[in-house]
Amino acid sequence: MATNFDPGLLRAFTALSDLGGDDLLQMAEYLQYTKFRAGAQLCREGDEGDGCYFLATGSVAVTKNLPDGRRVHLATLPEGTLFGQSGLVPGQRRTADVKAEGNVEVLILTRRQLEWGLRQKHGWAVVVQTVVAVALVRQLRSALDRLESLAADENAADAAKGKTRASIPKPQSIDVKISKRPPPPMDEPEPEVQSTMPTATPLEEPVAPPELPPLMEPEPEPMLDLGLDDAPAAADSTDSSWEGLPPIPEEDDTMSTQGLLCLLAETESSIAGIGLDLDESLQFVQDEDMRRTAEARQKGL
Amino acid sequence: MMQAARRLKLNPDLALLADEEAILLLQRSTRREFKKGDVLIREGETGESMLFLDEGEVDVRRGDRSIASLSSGTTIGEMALLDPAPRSATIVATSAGAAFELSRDALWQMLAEGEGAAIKTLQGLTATVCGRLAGVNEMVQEEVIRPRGNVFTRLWRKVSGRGRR
Repeated sequence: MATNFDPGLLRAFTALSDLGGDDLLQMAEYLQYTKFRAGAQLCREGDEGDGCYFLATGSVAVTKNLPDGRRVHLATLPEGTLFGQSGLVPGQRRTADVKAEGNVEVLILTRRQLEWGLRQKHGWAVVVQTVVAVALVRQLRSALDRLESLAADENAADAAKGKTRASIPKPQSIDVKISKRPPPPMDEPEPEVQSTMPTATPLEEPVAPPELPPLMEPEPEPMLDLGLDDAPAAADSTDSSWEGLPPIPEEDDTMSTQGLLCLLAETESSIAGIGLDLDESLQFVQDEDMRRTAEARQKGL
Repeated sequence: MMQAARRLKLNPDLALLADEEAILLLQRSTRREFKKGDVLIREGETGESMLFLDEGEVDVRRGDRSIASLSSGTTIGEMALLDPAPRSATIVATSAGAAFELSRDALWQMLAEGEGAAIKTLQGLTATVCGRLAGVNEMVQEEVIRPRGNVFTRLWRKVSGRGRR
């Protein structure tokens, strides 16, 4: 019966607000309480997820590596957030990295445990499955809407010979922010130093261990390495990787790229199972093309 | 009913259902027969149900554009079942046929009763929606990683052998 954490932690989650105390107590038995130290990686892009996380204390950063080497910061999630829901769906891979920003406490619900709860017809399991389904529907809808409006924008822009593209309104209420590539691997917190402290198995059911990142996985490689990825954003950059490259003309379709990046943030977050509120929580990375343009200009290239 | 249940289970969303669960799901649904030209779902109207197309064929239209045609065995409007919203397309019958309509109320009632049929339906639809999101994401990523508007773009295009659309 006893869990190694206070089931009252579950009251912090609005997703579970329909559940009564008994339901929460029962649900707590299916959860795994785990602590992560600052910098520890909870989810790794590309891994097959096997559950979702209830973030009880602390905050986590969600980032993604684009195949071209850019790294985007999708969101910072505060405590009380449920994330990684797509890990409850068989065969779905994590599409973003999630790292602890400080020390965090999470309650992990594995797919197996949820399925077991559903087989037992537990109310909490039905509620969780419903919450996840509805969240995914909303995210899919808004992603489709955006995809459609972007397509419409592009058509309009193309119709006007590309001249109107710059006048496409920026996505509203989105903080544009550059996320630098992480420091060299040596300085990065090693995944294996994270401390997971499941003091005792909280379940009668056998449980899978918490999702730990595999050790020392290589960073995803940029598809085309022009040495740009580690270029510092600082204005006094002496990065020489731009030498020999011609100046970068500012073209008028950057806005469109930015819109797409914005959509990417939303859809990626959706798939990572993050209830992302664009208006409130999304801090988005600026299209690095623009940064590179500025940098190149500063160097007088 | 058994035949319809079997057809229902051919749908990947609902493959997990046992025969008797599929039958129960159909029993809790309303069977609607239609003839060619009937409008089953109208774009813009708020939907709160899912259709399972048992017999016949339908056309999916947005505005005056036909975007797909669907045949028996397909489910339509799963998203509205889970979260009511204006329908995003019009469904017009292109042949006579029949569909089972599962309302949100019926599904929620079954969930409250702890019916395995409803729980498995919910699981199946969750997986479908999640998969579709992944698909949309791939499309978007295709767009995003095709950099535009600077020399990096052009180099990349050259090296990767990809041009603009």
